[in-house]
Amino acid sequence: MENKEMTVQSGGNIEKVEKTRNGKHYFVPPVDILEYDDGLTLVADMPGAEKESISIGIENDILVIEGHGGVAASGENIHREFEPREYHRRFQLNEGIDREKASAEFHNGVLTLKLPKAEAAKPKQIKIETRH
Amino acid sequence: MVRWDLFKEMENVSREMNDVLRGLENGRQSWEGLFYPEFTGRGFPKLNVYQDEDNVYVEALLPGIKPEEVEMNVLRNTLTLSGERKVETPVEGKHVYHRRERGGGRFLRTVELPYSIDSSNADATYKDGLLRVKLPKAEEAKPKKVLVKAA
Repeated sequence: MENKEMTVQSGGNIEKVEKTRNGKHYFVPPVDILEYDDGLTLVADMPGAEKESISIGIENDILVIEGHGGVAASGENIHREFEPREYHRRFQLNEGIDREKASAEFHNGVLTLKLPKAEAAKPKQIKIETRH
Repeated sequence: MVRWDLFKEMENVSREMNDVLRGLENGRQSWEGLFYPEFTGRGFPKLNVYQDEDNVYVEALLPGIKPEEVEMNVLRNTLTLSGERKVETPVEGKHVYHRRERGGGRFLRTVELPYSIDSSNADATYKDGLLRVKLPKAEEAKPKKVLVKAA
C-alpha cells in the first residue's frame, strides 16, 4: 500500500544552503520519515536547540526546518566534540499534503512534525458489492 | 592547560578507524550511519568538557532520552554515562518508513577527567536533549598556594 508519490525528498533539485553563509556552519539533523494512511510523520533529532528558535516553514513545496542552540558553557575548554548548532534541513513536498493541518511538537530535543495528507491523496477502498 | 600529545592523537585516530571498521563487520553500523554520525553506537553521546577553578562541566547531546533513564556514575575521576535510546514509532498504526536515519539502542560512554571529583555534590540538568553535568573538583585536586617563607 505504499504510495510512492507521497515520498518527501531531500537533496536532488532542492537548493542547498551554502555552508559558509554568515560564517555559520549548518548541521543537518538526522530524520525518520514515516508514512501512515492519513499522513506523513517526520521525526528529527535536534538536541540542544531551543524550542523558541525552531521554525518550520512551507513555501513553494519546500519544507524548511531550522533551529539553533543556546550559548556554549563558559570556562576553559578541555575536550570538544560539538558546537552550539545551527540546524537546517529542507525537503521537497508534493501536492498531497494538507499544509494547513500540519502540526509539530518538540520534546527532549526531538522534533515531531505531522503532515496530514490532503483528502484526495488518502487511499480509498472501493467495496465490491455482490449481487444475489 | 591541555597538552597536545602527538602520539596520543595518533592512537586516537587509529582507534577511531578501528571502531568504524569493526562496526561495519559486525553489521551493527550501516554505511548510512557513517554519514549521520549522531548515533553510531560508539561516540554516542557527543561530549564537551569544560572547567573553571572549582568545577568540571560535561555537556552531552542526548536527544529523545528520558532524563530519568540516563544512568550517571562518578568514581574518583571517571564519569560514566549509560542508558538506552528507544526509537519508537511516533504514532501507532500501519506505516512505511521512507527514511530512517535516527538510530537507537544501548549506549555507554566513559570519560576520564583530569581531576578527582567530589561526587556527592555533582549536579545534572537535562533540557531539550542536552545534558549538563556539573562536577565539583575534589578538595585535594584543587591547586593550593604554598607560601614561601624567607629564611
